[in-house]
Order: sequence, then C-alpha cells, then structure tokens
Amino acid sequence: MPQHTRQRFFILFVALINLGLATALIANGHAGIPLGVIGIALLPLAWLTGRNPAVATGDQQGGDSYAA
Amino acid sequence: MQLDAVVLFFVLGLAAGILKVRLPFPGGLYQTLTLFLLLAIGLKGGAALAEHASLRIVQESLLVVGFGVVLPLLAFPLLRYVGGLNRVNAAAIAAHYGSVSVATYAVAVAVLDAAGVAYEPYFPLFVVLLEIPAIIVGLVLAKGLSAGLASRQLAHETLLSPGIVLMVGGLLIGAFAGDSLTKISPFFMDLFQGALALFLLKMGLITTEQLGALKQDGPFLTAFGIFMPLLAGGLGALLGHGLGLSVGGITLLAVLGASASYIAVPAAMRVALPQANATLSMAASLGITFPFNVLAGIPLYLLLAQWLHGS
Repeated sequence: MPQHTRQRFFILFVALINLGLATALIANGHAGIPLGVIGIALLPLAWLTGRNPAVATGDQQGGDSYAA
Repeated sequence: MQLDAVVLFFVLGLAAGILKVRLPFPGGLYQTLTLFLLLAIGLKGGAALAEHASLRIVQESLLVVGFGVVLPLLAFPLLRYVGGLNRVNAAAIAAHYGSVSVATYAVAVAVLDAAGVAYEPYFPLFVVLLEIPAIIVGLVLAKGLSAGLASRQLAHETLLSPGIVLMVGGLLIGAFAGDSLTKISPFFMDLFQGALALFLLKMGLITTEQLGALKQDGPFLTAFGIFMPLLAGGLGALLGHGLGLSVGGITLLAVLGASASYIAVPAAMRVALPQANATLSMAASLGITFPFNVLAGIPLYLLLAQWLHGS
C-alpha cells in the first residue's frame, strides 16, 4: 500500500474516532463539540495528504535536519 | 458552558498569537515561571510523599516506569510505517510522546482542584519518573541497544536536565523540610494558579508559532498528535484503574500518558540525536498535543476516569 494511502487511512481513522467520541459525549449530555470540531477539521487533511507536494513529511523531503 | 480560568488564559494566548498581537512577554519571566512551577510541583509532591510513603508507592512507581517504556514503543511503528518517517525522526518523536509535559499536568491539577476532585498527592513523583525512560527507549530505537547512555554528556542531559533537577530538588525539600515548609508555602502554593495562568498565556503564544511548522510538515503529524494522546490517555486511565487509584488519580495518570514532553526530551535529543528534525517533534507535541490535551483531552480523561470508577 502506498505511503500516502496509509497516511490518508490513518487520518480518516483519527477523524472518525474524534467524531465518534464527540457523538457519544453529546448524546450523554457532555461537552463533545471540541472533539467534533477536531474530527471535522481532520477530514480535509485526509483528502489533502499526498495531493500537494508542499505538505509532505520531513522524510519525504529528503530527511532535512533543522536541528542545531 | 464554564471553562477553567487557567485554560482560558491559554486560549487568550492562542488568540493573541493567531491575531499576531505583539504581547510584551519577557523571556526572563517565562523562564522564572517555568522554574517556579517545577519547584512548586516538586514541593507539593515531596510534602505528600513524606506523609504517605509506603511500599505501595514503590510498586506503583515501577509500573509507571514500565508504562513510560511502553509508550514510545507504541508510537514508533506508527511514525515509521504509517507516517513514513525515517528511523531517527520516528525515534525522536516517539521519545517526546513517551515522556510527560509538566504544564499539561499542572493544568490537569488545576482543573481537578477547581472541580473538587481528589487525587493521590504523591503524583509529582510519577511526573519525575516518567520523564526519563522514554528518552532511553527513544535512543535505543534510533541507534540500537549498544547506544544506551554511553555518552557522558547525554547521561548528564538526561538525568541532570534543569527540569528534573528542579522537580527532584523540590521533592526532596518538600519531603525533608517538615513543618518549616509552611514558611514558603504562601509563595509556592497560594500563588501557583496565578503563575500557571501567566505561563499558559505564553504557552498559547508559543503554540501558534509551532503551528506554522505543521503547515509544511504534514497532516499525518497533526493526526498523530491527536491520536497518540487518546491512545496513551486511555492506557493510562486503564493502568490507574488497575492500580486502584481515585478518580483524580486515574485522570492524572491518563494525562501523564497523553502528554508529550517539550522541555526535557528536546534538550536530551539535541545531544543524543542531533540529526533528528527538532521542528517535527516540537510542532507535534507543542503545536497539536498540548492544546488538544488542554482544550479537549483533560475533560475527556476525567469523564473516562469517572466512568471507570463507576461514579
């Protein structure tokens, strides 16, 4: 499986966890909105992964080191 | 909806950072507040330790250290095989997530105090214990078993970092000072919440600076910075429940698991793995995980603890 597909699935998985937790919290009368917002915000990131060369991980950029 | 006053200071810092407001926050004040908080947490823990010292705490401490070893081992394969990071960067970030954030711990304590939730008072001991194992595991993951703490400079950075010295020093002073501690408690205990609020205002500003790095370095790290606290927080809560801790204790162990270091570990990694990209680790731990824990994680871990405890 290509790296970007793995990353996309992972981001989608984390988004769904947050949305699931938010739903469970709201259904039980607790504040679930912050987790819901995070879940929704992650969805476009899953779509963006691998589509724009500017949003790649450090390794994919050739392992640049910014350490002093 | 009511938010904790201390947390709102963090939100104010975030807002000021996003709006690019130039708040005149002196660097020396930030360092003073860090020193104050580390000492105050150590002193509180030391006083509690003197009162509650027992074999049970030793057993709990060993399990907490084991927990600190397991966390980077969970983070590393995710970073390496899902994130596609190279071995050194994956190990460095894993070390950050195995260690703890004292600021997140302080916020959790403030939230518990405000909610009137009791917790085991010797928790600062666990904060100190959880700082170190992840650094060693991170090194082993990056360099193999032979690396260890072979370098004298690294051993110094790891075991005698300013954060650890101040917290352990505070613990020892608190443990051995006895009643004379009351002489300094108006300064260290009564002013704690105010100092934490100011500290968090600065943390909000720093967080917005770190978010910029994530624009370049990846949606994956953003998701990782949210997933890891949920996983480690859940495991910490289960461990706390298994140890028979109170609701507050389970919450705090979840917070310790969920938080990622941005003071002690970066200093150690600069010495141990200079080729690691420090921006990636800091952006994830400070730009994503810290605000996640402060704004959404801590209330979630408290609810989880209440659910596990059946209250």
